[in-house]
Amino acid sequence: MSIIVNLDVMMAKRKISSNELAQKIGITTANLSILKTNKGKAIRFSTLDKICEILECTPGDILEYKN
Amino acid sequence: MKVTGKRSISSIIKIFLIILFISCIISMISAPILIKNIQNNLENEKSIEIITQITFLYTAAIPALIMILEFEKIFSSFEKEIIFSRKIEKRLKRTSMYCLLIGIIFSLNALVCNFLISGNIFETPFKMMYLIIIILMSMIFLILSIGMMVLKNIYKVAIDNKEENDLTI
Repeated sequence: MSIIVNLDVMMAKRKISSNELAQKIGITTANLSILKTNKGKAIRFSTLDKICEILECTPGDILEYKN
Repeated sequence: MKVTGKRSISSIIKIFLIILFISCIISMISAPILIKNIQNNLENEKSIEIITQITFLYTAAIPALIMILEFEKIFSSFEKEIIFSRKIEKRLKRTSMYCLLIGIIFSLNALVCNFLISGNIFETPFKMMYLIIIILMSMIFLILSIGMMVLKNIYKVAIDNKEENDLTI
């Protein structure tokens, strides 16, 4: 897949751990790990909305397209 | 009553399949004794006919027994609440192949035994009835083979959708 998830970059910038972020979003750390490692097949808008709210960023900061 | 999980319909069917498997094995072992008794009381020609019929039935019994085992494993998975699994998809595919094989064996049985060996199929009503049953059995297994393949493809779509859903965060 050509979509890259730069979640770990944003998490490092905001100095937030995986456990804390997962808890605030309302997903398991396992699912967050799937997202971070680009193994996810799809992301719900509601999840993306919460991630952007907590990390104070835009979807473009987290999702990148590389051909 | 629940369909999957412990103490469910799947558990009952699993036990039934195990009993069926053991019964079939016992029948296959005891059949030669019965054949020997029949052979002693019959003419050579009829004896050859019966032995050929039984050879075909024994040949069909092997994939049938393997099929029973595959179904038992499928229902074991259901008992463990593993419903959508790649292993079940593969088992359904194998079951379809076995049904096709059994259908072909029964078709050959109808052709070889009833037309080539016995000659006049209208000799007795019993022979005609037996031929009709064999032809019906071959058709049933051939249709079952197609049914199993369709079910396998539906399962594949279901598993693909489930995997995509599981990986949707």
